[in-house]
Amino acid sequence: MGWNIGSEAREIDSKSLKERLKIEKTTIKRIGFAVLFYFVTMVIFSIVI
Amino acid sequence: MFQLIILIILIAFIFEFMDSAAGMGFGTGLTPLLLILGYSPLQVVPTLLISQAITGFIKSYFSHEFENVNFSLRPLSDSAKLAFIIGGIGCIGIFFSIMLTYMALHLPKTFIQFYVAMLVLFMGVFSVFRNKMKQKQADEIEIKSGLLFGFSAIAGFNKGIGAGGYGPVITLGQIYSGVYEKSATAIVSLAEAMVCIVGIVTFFFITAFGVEIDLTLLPSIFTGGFIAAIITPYLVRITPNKIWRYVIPLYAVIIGIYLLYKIIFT
Repeated sequence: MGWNIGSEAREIDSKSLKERLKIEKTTIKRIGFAVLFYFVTMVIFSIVI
Repeated sequence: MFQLIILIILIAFIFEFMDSAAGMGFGTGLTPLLLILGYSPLQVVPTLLISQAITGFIKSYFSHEFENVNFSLRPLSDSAKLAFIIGGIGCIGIFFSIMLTYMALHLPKTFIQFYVAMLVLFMGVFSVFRNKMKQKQADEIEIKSGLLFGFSAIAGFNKGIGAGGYGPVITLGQIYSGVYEKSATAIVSLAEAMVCIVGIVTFFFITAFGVEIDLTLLPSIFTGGFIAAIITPYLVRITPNKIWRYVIPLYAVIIGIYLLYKIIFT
């Protein structure tokens, strides 16, 4: 069985630090959603615990 | 009672950070530390399982987002497939582990802990020397399926006897098998998140038999873990893989020594 794992990471590694540091706008949006998810989870915890 | 404890947030952040970066150490390191701080196993274990399940999926999502791994489901990527296989074996393991611990059977604890400590230590030391011997860039190494499944079985067995060491064995096992370090740690995060869900379900199942759990620590542990789960995949992305090639086995050696210390001095 042949596995194709890590090719994306290898590609990123071959880029310069400047390229690796770049964050897409969609990624920033997704981080924003994750933060929102954190607050919703904490509200749920405050009700349940 | 809902409360946020700064010390616990900080400790959880540090261990989750290392767990995300090196694929190991959250349960193995944090559990004994919280027990030393005076918390009971029924306050610590279910809390860590719930927190690690949620942060595990967040870590996996952002590892995919930052291109450390490809977890696409349609079509199912090889990384996702491997995480499901490893996670599946771990799920069977953790179910038996919790049932054995809280229902009836007690295995010889010191012997099992010694076995896991030696295994982690040996795998870590071997990986360090292996890196020294194989200086050439291992870019296109063929992944060995037999080794992958073998290590998954060993890690599942460890989980099953309740001895810990699932993360170190799976992470180092994948690296031995030829998986790229950055992807290996991300795959462990997804597999462990699945394993933790089965752990949570099993814990809630045993509460039906009168075992009471306490989730006071959950908001603090989750807060520390959440911050690390967002930041670490990005740091993994920007740090060259050759750094992780040394950090991961060295951290495993530290965990192995720590486990041995715990057995000898407690």
